[in-house]
Amino acid sequence: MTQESGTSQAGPGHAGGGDAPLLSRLALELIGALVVLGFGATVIWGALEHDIGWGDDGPQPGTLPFWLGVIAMLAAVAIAVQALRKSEALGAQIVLGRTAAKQTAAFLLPIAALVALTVPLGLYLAMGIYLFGMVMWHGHGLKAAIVTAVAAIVFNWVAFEYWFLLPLPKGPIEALLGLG
Amino acid sequence: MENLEALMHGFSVAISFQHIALMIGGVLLGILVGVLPGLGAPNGVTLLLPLTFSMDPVSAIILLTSTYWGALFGGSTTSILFNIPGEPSSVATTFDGHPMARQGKATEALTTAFLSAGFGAFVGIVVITLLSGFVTSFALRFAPPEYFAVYFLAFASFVAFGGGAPMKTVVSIVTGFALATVGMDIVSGGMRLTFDMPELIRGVSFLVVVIGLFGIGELLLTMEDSLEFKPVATTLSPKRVLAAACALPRHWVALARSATVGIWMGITPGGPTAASFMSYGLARRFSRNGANFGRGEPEGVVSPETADHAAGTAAMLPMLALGIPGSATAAVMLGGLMIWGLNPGPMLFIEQRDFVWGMIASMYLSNIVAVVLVLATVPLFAAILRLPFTIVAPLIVVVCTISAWSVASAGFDLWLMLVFGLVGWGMKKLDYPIAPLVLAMVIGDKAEDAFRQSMIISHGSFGVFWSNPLVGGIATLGLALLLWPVVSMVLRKMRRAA
Repeated sequence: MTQESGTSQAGPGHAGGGDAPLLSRLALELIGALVVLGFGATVIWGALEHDIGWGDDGPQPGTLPFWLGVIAMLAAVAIAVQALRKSEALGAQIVLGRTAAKQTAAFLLPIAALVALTVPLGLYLAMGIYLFGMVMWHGHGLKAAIVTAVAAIVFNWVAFEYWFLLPLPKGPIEALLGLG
Repeated sequence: MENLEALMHGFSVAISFQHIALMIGGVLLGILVGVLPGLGAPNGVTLLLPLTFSMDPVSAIILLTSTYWGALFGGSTTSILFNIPGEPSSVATTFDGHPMARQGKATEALTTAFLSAGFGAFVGIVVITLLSGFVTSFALRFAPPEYFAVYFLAFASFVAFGGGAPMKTVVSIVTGFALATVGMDIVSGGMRLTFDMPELIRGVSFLVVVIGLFGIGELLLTMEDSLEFKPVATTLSPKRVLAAACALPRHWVALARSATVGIWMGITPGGPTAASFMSYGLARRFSRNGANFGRGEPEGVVSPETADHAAGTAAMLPMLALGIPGSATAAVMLGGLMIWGLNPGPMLFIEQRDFVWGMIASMYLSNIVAVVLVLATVPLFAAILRLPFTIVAPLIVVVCTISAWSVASAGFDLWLMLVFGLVGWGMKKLDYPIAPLVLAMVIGDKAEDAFRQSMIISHGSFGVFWSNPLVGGIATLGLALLLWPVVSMVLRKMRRAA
């Protein structure tokens, strides 16, 4: 039994503590509070299309959403105030470095592409392109990329079209092959 | 004795070729999900949920619960071998489990972890068996005010025991509730928060939200750490497994204490993650070997594992009996229950005896299946981890995408998944608790209905929540818990001033 020692995180190319800071905890806390504030405002706006009062039969359709929105906005303000009070400590705490941000974005954007391509191309073709691209891009070679993409398509086709009888979206390729 | 009879009836429902096959399949899938970081028990169960729509409820719940047990076990495997917790609830297992593995005692660490986990689960199920009969005795006294009081209690205890910043827990609950109100209002028939978008008329599915928050969100976090798996050769010799199993009873104090902590945290909605940390903390504080903790002390593996699984199984009781899920995974299962047309609550124990007792009986069996399978498959799953994560992660994304699609066959849901992936990333970064959001989404509608029905009964008076000792007791307890953070802060300030 061989047991490698050492921690598992420090792979090559991982900047770790040396990563140039991009976002401090303070900044992210404030962004988070702003998002909650905006969400609360949206909910209130939606609730105002209905009666938000309190009738004889208790709350009306808009009552709950309205107060949820109000509570969300109040909580957002409280969170922002709490963060600003500790601004020095939180400002020094880095939650996202530049390298980490790039890695995250490089992972997130292809998912967005996969989602965007699913309806026009069908999920099978989209997942093939996505997997092929990701595996190639991370330098695992053409063979690994083709094997991953084809294996995923074949497995999911068998599993969902035949086994679970839960058809996934198909596109022009399937129509061309007479499989749609 | 009535319970024993019901349990035997449950076994007669649960033991069939199809159900055993579902248990094995569910446990294996669960272990896979648990082993892969970025996929956790809530995901595994969410991903399988659409497939259960055509099953009968007993088969469906057996598949989902088996997956849950498998995921809980699988998470410990990676914690011990690679120092990568496959599950949030197995983080505490890394503290002593990985040092043990590094000292060449991987077999001992894994065996100890799995058997203590199995013990914790067993105690949890026994408690469920004993308490289930009691639940039926007050089933018929539950009316809308009681239901609302119980929902209120669930949310209040998240605020009090959830561990996160109370304001952030509130945001999480409010967001979940608000998302639950999207779509048609059952009482008035009006469209709420749809902003004239046709995609929003059917509401926001909690499944899509969970896939985004847990699945995509976790992956984004993992990617940022540029996680690399270290190849580790893993073989388990049966002799050492047996030796470790024989050594387990020596830790009986830790086993008993951790099981108690786990059951308490499972029944109150603390959840397995909180239970495992709390149990580890208590063990380090009170154990005679406390000084060795963090350096490969077996008791440091026993304590979190036992509590983790005791909490996981115990969480099923409040889920069935009150509609309060004790963990995020239980919250997803609760959603499943409603989709299958079952109404969680005390009445379930009277009207759906086959379902309830079949599920409880299956829990005894599937945990045994899980312990055996997880030991047998350690080499296999350790091999999967030798695949580069840069190949595994895109595959997980594809699985998430398929699952999000299968909920309602809507492209819009895929975008929702992506947005909630980002939201999940931010929530994790900023320590917003996610479980209350899921809970609020699942029972938000029911809580609002119960509240509005109570108000119709009482003509708008809150007195209805204190109209009899049962509802009054629950409501008062809920209020007390909600105010707990404030009270404890005031007390602390007073003590400091004195």
